[in-house]
Amino acid sequence: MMNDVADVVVIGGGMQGLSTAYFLLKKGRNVTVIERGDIANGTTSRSDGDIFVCDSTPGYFTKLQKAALDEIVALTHEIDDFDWMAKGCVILAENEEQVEIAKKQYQEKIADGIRCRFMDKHDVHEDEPNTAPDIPGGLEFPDGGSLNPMLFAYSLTRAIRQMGGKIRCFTTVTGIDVSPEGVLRGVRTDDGDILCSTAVIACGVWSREIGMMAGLDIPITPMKGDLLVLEPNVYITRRKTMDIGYSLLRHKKAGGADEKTFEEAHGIGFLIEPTNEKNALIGFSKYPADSTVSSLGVMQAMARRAIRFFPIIKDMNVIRAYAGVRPWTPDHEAIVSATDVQGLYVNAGHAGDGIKLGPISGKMMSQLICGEQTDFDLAPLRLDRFKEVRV
Amino acid sequence: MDGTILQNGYPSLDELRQMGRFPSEERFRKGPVAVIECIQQIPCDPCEGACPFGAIHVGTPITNLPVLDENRCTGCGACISHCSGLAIFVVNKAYKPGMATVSFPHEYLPLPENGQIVDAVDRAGSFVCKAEVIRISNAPANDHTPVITIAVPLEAADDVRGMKRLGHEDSYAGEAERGIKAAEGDDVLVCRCEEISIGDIKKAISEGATTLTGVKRRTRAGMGLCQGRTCHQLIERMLQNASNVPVEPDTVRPPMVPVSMDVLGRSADDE
Amino acid sequence: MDRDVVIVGGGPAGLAAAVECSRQGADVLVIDQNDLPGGQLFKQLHKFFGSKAHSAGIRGMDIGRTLLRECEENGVEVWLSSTVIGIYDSNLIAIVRETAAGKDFIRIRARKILLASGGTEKAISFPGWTLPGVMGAGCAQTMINVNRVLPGKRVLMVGSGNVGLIVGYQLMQAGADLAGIVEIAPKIGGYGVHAAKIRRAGVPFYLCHTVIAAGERDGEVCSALIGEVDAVTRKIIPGSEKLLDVDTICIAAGLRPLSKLARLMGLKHVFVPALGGWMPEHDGNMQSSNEDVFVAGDIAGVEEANTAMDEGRLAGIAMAHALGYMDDASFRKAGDEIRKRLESLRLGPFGKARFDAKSQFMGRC
Repeated sequence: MMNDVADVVVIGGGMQGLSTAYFLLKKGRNVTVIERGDIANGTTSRSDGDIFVCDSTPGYFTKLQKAALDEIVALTHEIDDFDWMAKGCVILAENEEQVEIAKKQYQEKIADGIRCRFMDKHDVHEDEPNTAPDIPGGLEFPDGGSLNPMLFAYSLTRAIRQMGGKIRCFTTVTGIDVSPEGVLRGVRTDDGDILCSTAVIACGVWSREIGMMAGLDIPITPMKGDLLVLEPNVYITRRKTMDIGYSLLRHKKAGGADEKTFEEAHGIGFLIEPTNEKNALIGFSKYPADSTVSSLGVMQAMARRAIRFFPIIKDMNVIRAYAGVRPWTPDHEAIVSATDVQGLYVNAGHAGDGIKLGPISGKMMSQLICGEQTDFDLAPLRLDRFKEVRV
Repeated sequence: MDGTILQNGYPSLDELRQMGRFPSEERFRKGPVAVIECIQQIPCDPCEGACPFGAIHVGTPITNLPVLDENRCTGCGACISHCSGLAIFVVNKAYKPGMATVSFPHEYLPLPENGQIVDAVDRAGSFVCKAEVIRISNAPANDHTPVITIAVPLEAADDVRGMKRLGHEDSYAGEAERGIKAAEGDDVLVCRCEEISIGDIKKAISEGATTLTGVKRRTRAGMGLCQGRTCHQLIERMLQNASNVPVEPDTVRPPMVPVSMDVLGRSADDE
Repeated sequence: MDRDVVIVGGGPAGLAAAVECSRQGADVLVIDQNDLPGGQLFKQLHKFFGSKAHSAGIRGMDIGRTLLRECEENGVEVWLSSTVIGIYDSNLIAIVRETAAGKDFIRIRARKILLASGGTEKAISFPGWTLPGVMGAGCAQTMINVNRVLPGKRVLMVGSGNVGLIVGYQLMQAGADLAGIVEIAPKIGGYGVHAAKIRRAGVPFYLCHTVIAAGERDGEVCSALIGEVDAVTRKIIPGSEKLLDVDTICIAAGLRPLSKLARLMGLKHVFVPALGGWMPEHDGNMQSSNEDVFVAGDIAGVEEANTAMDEGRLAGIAMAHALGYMDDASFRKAGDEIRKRLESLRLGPFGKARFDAKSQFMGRC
């Protein structure tokens, strides 16, 4: 047991926790990260590395994502390499109805200052000849790219340690000490207590149970996603490509037993992400479930969906499947916020965008804690927005 | 008692005698008799049933050493080919004045012919003497374990236990070529699919990996086509040496073997 | 498609289980990845140890033929070239089945499942271990006894357990030379009688030795550098190196339970060094921590074919009993008989460690 003192305790060694610690250390704070497993043991290690600005709600959130991308590009100059590949991405429409949706999205993105190109049937096949012949159109986003989430987490870890930050892995938080006046006094762990006046709950899907230790209601629930990994050395397409359903699904309460088909109930769509290791990730699914075991039916449905967009894929081998749980909030946007407990903050609930939004959220959390002006108005990301919804 | 068998690969004559594995000299002088050179308690008893005269007793438990009733044993040799360990021989020290015969199992082709002169060898495979083949038994009851009987000088009867393989030139070509070109030390590969070396694994462990998953995520070892079939066990050993506790097995992810998207995507009959 | 019992793995444990289970009236399907059934049995040209009840003195391949015939007589269906790619909730088994017509994807729900997927060879790494010509002993055994191809002319065997000794002997029977058997421990690991067969052929044992590196010519193994190790530190003693002229290095460093499916299913595992490492925990009826799932053979702890078959028989009657095909009394009687036989296989200096290890987590076997 080791009792300790810190300026700030960050609970959670995933993308949000590491980013928060990193930016706090840059501001000279003394930070200890508590992680119950190894670094990036939860959703971070089960994510794709998609850093794009093509699928967000127009306006505030699209601008936030654009800033998120800039933060990541900036980090490529600050920390060790994390396989950043700036290749842009493509969204495909499956039929004429979806072409119309694509045209509308094109207008929205341009309005938000995002570079975007509308592609007709000819353009789509000229761009990527492996695309199914009947795909009638799509959108091309030249900005953005992908990274390796694990390398990203380890690079941040090394940077944190170099700046004198402490990361205590395999240490479980057992309680949060709050004074009767509602002021944070410390964090209790199975390896001793840490006195601190500031703590950040950055536990993704597991934030709810940690919040309860301080009497907080953090409405984050698990939203499962599955991925398939294709064998190495396959070539399908040079860029990340997904079907337009990805952004459509993002804005509805995807999944659930009330949906008609298996595909609808499990939020099945198409996504392919070529990796630096020359294999490819195939997705996607989105349904409420608390399990990281791949579902057979979902694996099958994703395979069928992928073949529909790139028929060439049918003879390629799946070598592995994995699944993770997205930290889902009722409005599917993140929580970067102070709480009713003085000194206790939440940086969690980034749904399927945790890797992308990690650095910008971590940066803004450090600004919030240090009493500085935040890069964006944090009102849309406040925890208490859910209280209002419930009343 | 193991004696020296697990050091030398064969029991010494003294040990065999001390452990009562050898019939008495008196019995030897009367004619052929079985010598059961079985000195470890292994769970096995076919010899007991193989003897038509009930001269071999194992009983229960089956790890008992077989005991030969030398007076019931006629030296017929039925037990030789039934011993799964090829550890029974028949020695006839009353073959001819100054000559004995030794019968032993010989599971190599080609078989010798009657009258052929072969190289008799001892328990260590060393040449003892030239010997004439006087009998070859390869009946269906032998179940493909031929029994060869050779005639040897009486004084060699306790040592000779086989013959050199026939039709077999030693392939040894001379001085071996060193030719060590592969990477050594920390550069030796552990994961062939992703080309991850011992040094890479050591680095991951030094950076805090304590589990297979931790090493895998830091290095990509085991994330290639074979999914860690070979390297995971090597890494497990390295982790174990580093921490001295059993390392949790890695998370298993489907599919168990690579499967094509086409086959995987075939519609399910139920859901 | 629904089945009473699906058995994953058609080796000695799986086939023996199939025979016992189907005899009681259960509908049994055996799934095997290989295009030949029998697992290792058809590679085992040597005569088995054990007692009469264990087919002692009979060659492995003949035991395999008998088991297959019994399967057929009892209506067991055997799917070859079929791979279980996953087992999911409610005992849903996903299978890729290859037939002359192509590959099929089949999903089956089983009331009871037996995992009898066997073991897998352990590797050791040294400079050159990835060269063609370095292979597992089991691989060499498949080459000579199934495919009838000699892996090389001069072979070094690394490891003196029964697998190393038996495969070494069979390599000589197939016409190869055995340049020696290297063993890092100060004594031979397998049965003395197996070692004696090899010594009679003049093959040296290098005890307290290990392989340091493989030499390479034209991209293949041309030599093996071995050296003596200090018995305590296991470090090479300087000056003890010997260069052996070989074109093949066989690794017989032991087996471990192949329990990937069991881990995918989340069965509780235990770490038992004497039985090869991590393995699914099970009781005296071979039932795992999941009441619908049984394990038998090397997956339940690496032993040998006789124990595998008896464990399979135990699992077979336990599944039949659980499905109502067998009454309590006859189940108990048959089970006790098999357990007694199993106990007799785990006596003596070789079996005791395994007996103790098994007893540790399941009371009495």
